[in-house]
Amino acid sequence: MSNSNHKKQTFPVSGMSCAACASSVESVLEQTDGVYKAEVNFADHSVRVEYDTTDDELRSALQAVGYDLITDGEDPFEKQKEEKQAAYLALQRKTLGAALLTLPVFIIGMFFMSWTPGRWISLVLSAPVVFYFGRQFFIQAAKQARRGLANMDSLVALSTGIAFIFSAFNTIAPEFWTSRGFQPHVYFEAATVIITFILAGRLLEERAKSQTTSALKKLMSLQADTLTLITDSGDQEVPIDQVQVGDHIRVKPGEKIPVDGEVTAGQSYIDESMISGEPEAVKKRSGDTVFAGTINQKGSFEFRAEKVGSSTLLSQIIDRVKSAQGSKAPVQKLVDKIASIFVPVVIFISIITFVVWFSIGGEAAFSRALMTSISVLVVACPCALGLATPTAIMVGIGKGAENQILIQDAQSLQIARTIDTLILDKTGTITEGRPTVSQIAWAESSNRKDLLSIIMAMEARSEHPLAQAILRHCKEKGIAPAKLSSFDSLTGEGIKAQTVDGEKFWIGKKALMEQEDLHLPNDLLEKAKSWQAEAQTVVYFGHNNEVSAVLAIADRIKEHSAQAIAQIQKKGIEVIMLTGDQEATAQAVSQKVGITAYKAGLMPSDKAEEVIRLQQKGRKVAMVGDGINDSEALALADLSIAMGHGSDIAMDVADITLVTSNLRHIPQALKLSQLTVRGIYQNLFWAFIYNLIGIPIAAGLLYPFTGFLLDPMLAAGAMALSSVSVVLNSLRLKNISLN
Amino acid sequence: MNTYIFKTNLQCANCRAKVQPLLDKSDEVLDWQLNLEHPERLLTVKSPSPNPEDISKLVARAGFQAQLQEQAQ
Repeated sequence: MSNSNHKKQTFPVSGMSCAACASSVESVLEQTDGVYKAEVNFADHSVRVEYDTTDDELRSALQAVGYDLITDGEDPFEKQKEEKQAAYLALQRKTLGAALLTLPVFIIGMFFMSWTPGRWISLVLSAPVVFYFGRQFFIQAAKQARRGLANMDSLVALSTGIAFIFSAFNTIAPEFWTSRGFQPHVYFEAATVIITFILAGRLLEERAKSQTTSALKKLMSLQADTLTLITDSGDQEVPIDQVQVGDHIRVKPGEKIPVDGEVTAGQSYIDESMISGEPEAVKKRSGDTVFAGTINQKGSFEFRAEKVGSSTLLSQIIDRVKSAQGSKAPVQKLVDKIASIFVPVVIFISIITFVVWFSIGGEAAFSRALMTSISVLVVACPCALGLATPTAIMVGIGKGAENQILIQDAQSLQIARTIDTLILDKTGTITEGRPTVSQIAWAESSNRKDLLSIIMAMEARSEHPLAQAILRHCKEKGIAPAKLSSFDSLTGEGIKAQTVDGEKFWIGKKALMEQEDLHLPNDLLEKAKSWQAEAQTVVYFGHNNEVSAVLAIADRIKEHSAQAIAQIQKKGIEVIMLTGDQEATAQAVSQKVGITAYKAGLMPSDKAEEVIRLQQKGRKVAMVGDGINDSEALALADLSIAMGHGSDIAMDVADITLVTSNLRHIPQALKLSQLTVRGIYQNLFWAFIYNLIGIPIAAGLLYPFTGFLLDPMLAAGAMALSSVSVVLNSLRLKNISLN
Repeated sequence: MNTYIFKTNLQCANCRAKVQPLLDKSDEVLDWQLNLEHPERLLTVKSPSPNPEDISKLVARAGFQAQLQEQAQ
């Protein structure tokens, strides 16, 4: 018994893996006191409950069995976003805190070296920097060490940890060294500056990382909220989640189609670009299928709901984009790879140093061996290490922006150079994306301007999708519309009109011309045939008793497309074209731009499958698209590029957006990626080189000749030189041309 | 000791994971086996209890259905 006083709410449920689980959830809930009805939507992973008890009761009941209910009603994406934000703020705090405490330590270390109390002050100030603000390095290093691995955190933890402990020891008990003839140096500033710089590098990296996805929110906003339900008692406006399969729905001009279904009455043109990517509106009549999220143009019709809620094509696209985005793994940091080898090597060198000095023996052999082996570890970590990657990437992103290439995901700069396959969407990417008049052929005896103004007047009243293309053409030519005395729309055939002086005109298909018995000059007929062979649409214009002109309308290929594609192919990348449009047009276009591999007639999910198929073959796939129908494929591709004029969603999902939608930016983006990665390698070189020189010195190589061992000045020198070199190198990148 | 064989509606390993803790902990169940390969998804239970309903109720607590098919001594 359903009562409107009962609470009714839908909750996300986790732990259901099959239909039996779904009915088990319903059954468990209904057994719970206070629950009247429970209905699971398996595809949505949710349950709609009619109940009188608390949310927590529902949750405990399910948890007892092994499921879980999300009662906060929190959007999982919001939660993720919040967590990321919190992590960023924490990092910011740490960096700032470390920097503030490091400053005095640095000053003392540089200018007040011999001032003994200075050491104690440094000790006290450095401890929080290394062990509190820098604790993540030690935690991560420990995790890595447990698995027998090492990464950048290990290097930082090792070096700064040893530096601090060594310095602390030397501050508390310097006699240990002085009594044996050695200088008890302290390296507090080395430890703290390294921590601060590495944290700063992390902060920069986080800033450069991609924004959280608002693409999904936008996709979801394509779903209508309410719709007009046709019932026995008239039209009712109902919320979309109350629609059921079999309901009859009315759609008015300009409305969004709410659910998938079959047209039962009326007809109209519908903009299906979200599915097919094709800008030309599709005619829908009785028996045709319509899809949720598409937009009705000027007609009005009724349809029967076939797929609702999460079964609609739109919902499935949303789901797939969601899972595609979740499946991409981040690129392993180059720095970590280097560190994983460097750390064991450095430890090895340290041990060897100890062994060598100890076996050489002599006075204070143990202390010497100890000091040198420790010094090796102290000087091992380059302070510019954390800056190497982020500075190069920041410059890369800035450079991209200067060239109208918006880089949303910094990782893409590193991935781009590994690409061997590029998938291009046809409509809107290779072509302009909207029908335009490409050619007009006139019969001999024509006053073109006057006729064009008649055409313009007629098309202004036409509902046909191609009318816009013709209107634009006339406007561009500066034509003004003529005055018509009558106008008629012959659905499916064309339009006809008359002017005040009794002249008759028709615009439409060839069939219309034949019907009205208009003479079609041979040359025009030939032209029409050749255009059709090129997969263009031909529109006929009749005047009194003959066809005066034929117009070819097509989605024009962008000027630079062919050139850009050739450039990309030269780099050894295979270019493939995928489109939802028909075979004939696809073939014509690919021939013109020099693409040999293409597939036509694809649904949005087919594009995604192509991406996966190629990836499984081991290819690194880049995808270029502009529409919602491309978003799943974009999310799956190794590198995704969106066109600036395209849908917001494609731009949000993509790693890179080409603001000008000009394909020639693609080879530029690829070059940018090459330069950036090279820059990272160079930066790493500069970061390490000074420390690498420092290691043998710390190990005591110069000792037999000069008695020279590692001292804080040397360590500081290495730090300064490496940082400056890295920054200078990154700035140098700015000035390299992308062409 | 009774051996009961039930027809169930458990379909997958995940479902099994839901009933497992209940069956393992129960005093009424000495030993149990679930055959998911069998079209009837048979659950075989060795129980000291003379009442097969005790077992069905247990399975129902996890939200699944168990219908007695066979009983052996």
